[in-house]
Amino acid sequence: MASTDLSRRTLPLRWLGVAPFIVFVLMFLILPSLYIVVGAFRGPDGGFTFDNIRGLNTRTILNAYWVSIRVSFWSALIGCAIGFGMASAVVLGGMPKAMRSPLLTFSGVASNFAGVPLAFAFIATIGPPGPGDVWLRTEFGDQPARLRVQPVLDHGLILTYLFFQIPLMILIITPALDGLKREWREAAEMLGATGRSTGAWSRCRSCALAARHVRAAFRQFLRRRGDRLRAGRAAAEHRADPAVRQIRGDVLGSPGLGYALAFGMIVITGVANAIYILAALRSERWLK
Amino acid sequence: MKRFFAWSAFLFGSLFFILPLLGMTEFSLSMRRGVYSFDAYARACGSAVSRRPSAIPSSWRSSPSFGVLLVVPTAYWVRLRMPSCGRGSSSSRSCRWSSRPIVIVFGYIRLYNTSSWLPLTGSATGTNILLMFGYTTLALPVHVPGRRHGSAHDRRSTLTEAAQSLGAGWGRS
Repeated sequence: MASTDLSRRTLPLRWLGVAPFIVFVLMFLILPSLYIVVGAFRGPDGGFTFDNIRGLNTRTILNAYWVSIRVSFWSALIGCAIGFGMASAVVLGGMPKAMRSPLLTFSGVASNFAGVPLAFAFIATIGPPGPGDVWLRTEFGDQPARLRVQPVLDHGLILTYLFFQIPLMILIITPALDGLKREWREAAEMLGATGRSTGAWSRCRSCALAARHVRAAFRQFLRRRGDRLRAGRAAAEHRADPAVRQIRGDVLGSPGLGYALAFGMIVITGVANAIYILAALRSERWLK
Repeated sequence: MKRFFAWSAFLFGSLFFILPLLGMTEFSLSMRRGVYSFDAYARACGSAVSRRPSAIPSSWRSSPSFGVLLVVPTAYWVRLRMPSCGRGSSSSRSCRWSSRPIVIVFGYIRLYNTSSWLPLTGSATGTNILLMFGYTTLALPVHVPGRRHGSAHDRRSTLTEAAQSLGAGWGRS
């Protein structure tokens, strides 16, 4: 009884240590997001309404979301494949150990390379003034314009985003490949597995890495969605983009639609976040 | 054969990283038509903006320090007194991707404008403080796991107990 009273008395003091952090997160992360969520369901007169959400159901806005999701999906998927190939090469491929540290260090830097510098690097390389475009024109002439990769189009964006998606995958999957326990391989071999890819060891490895792959894919999906480059690019190109439409909606006298667009982005990211966290918990259970 | 595929994958990926950097370098050296030169670098380094330290906004300069001041004591406290809450912090790393900068700025302008209960945008100092908070918010998912990894192996409870038994307290070192 006495100990219960004591714990009741010490509980607030214990939480006092994290109070500044909680207050900060509440005021500058949760409240602004909540404000947008509430605004999405508020009409011009201040009353509750679904009109703003219904307003999203137009072809241009749905197309804007679809383009965004499609670019996120493909860049995450291709980034996963190439990143996994590179990480496997270094960890399991019998390459010199000296390659590992520079690759991981570079990946740490490149995974944060985003925004205007990244856009500039790719425009300078594959854009109209870049050596990539010059090479294509020299080799194929002006005719095959479809061969050209323009950074402002979907396939150009996917290519651009791969610059940080691949390193991100390397950073995520390398610890997982390191975490494959030698005992698992020995156990699989005792059960008849061989070194071939169809063996039980391969299946065991796939199971162990599957959650990490899902986690990596969704992290990359989220990483791409959080990047600022696309908003700037879309603003410059006047293309359909939820973020830019949100600003336009606000400026052009329909703040409710602006809130609804932002709410839509939060929902998409929230769903991907939930899957990412579930996969992270599962992969941590497998690969400690 | 395994080594061949490994090298192929590695070289393919490396090429992808190197080409844009080469393209950017080539572009930056091509300011003078027809020849490579360092003109662009000379102009960038010689401009008044790059020579002025105050060209970097104060909110940029102070946000890392503020982030450290906010996160380090919290991480220390959580690990020492509330270890069961530490696991929850791992989920916070995904906050960065759920909070897009534009959404946060949109919310800040609405919440902290001049007619709100906390009119931070009413003055230059207030706006700088708000920007600093914004940068810190966006950097939180980097700060928190970084702090967690950094403190994963230290024995802070043992060290804290030792310091306290030597006379240290929360109010004095």
